[in-house]
Amino acid sequence: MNVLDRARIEWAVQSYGQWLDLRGASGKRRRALRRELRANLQDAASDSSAAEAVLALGSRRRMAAEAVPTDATRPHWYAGASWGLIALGLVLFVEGLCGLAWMDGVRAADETQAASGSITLFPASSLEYAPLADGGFSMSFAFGWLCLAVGLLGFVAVARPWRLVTGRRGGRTAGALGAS
Amino acid sequence: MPAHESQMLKGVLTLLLLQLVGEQEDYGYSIVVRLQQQGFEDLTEGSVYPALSRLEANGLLGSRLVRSASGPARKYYTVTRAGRAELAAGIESWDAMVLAVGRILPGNRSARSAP
Repeated sequence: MNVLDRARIEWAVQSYGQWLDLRGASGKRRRALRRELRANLQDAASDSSAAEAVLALGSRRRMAAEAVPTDATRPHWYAGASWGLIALGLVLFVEGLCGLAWMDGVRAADETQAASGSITLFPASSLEYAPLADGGFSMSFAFGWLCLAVGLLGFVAVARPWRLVTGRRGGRTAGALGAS
Repeated sequence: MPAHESQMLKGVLTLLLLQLVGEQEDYGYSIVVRLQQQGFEDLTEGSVYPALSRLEANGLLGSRLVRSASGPARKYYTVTRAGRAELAAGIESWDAMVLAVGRILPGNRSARSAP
């Protein structure tokens, strides 16, 4: 099995894990189901191909919905971390592009002059450009806190950590109702 | 597979899985292959794997991990005592339903067995 096939299988396994997490499956249960799916996919891939094996699964969302009942009291740590990282990556990408555009602008204006600045809408970001004696230049770039804040916000919005409190409280209420 | 066939199959999938695993301890992909070889060509892994997980969570199947030479450990399923009872009850219901449906469908398919 080549690297691409392994990546296909791993992508399917991880997306299944995310949907299981969103259904409220515990970490132990998710790991067990992911391990089982990985083994099954590798067997199926050796019979046909990894692409066909993954295609035969259909919607991982539906699979997760059929595999485990919904537990609305659990936070979604795994999905939260994934979406938080995606949000962080997107902001870093946009900020990186803005930084390159800034550098191009500075060099187009006067490449022999040192310059410093920041990117609009990205607080605490800073850029510094300095020409070197040998004709080259140096560039430094601080991304600031916005990328971390957006990543954290993405994580919190999807993970819903407050369920640790509200879920426990809901469980206690349900217990008290059951006792009465 | 037409939607109505898919719904019908979903109804008997539990029965099929309990029967197949009862015949032979087996793991997910192999069970799919056995089902497809027995005429359920349109049955996909995406339906069978969650059904196995659900049956295990409900205590109808047990499982154990077995090392595999070709890759990660496979999860082999076995039928529990509750699973056998469920299978027996399911077969009884299925037989009764086939008989009743046969009386209604054109050609009176169960005329010979009906009283």
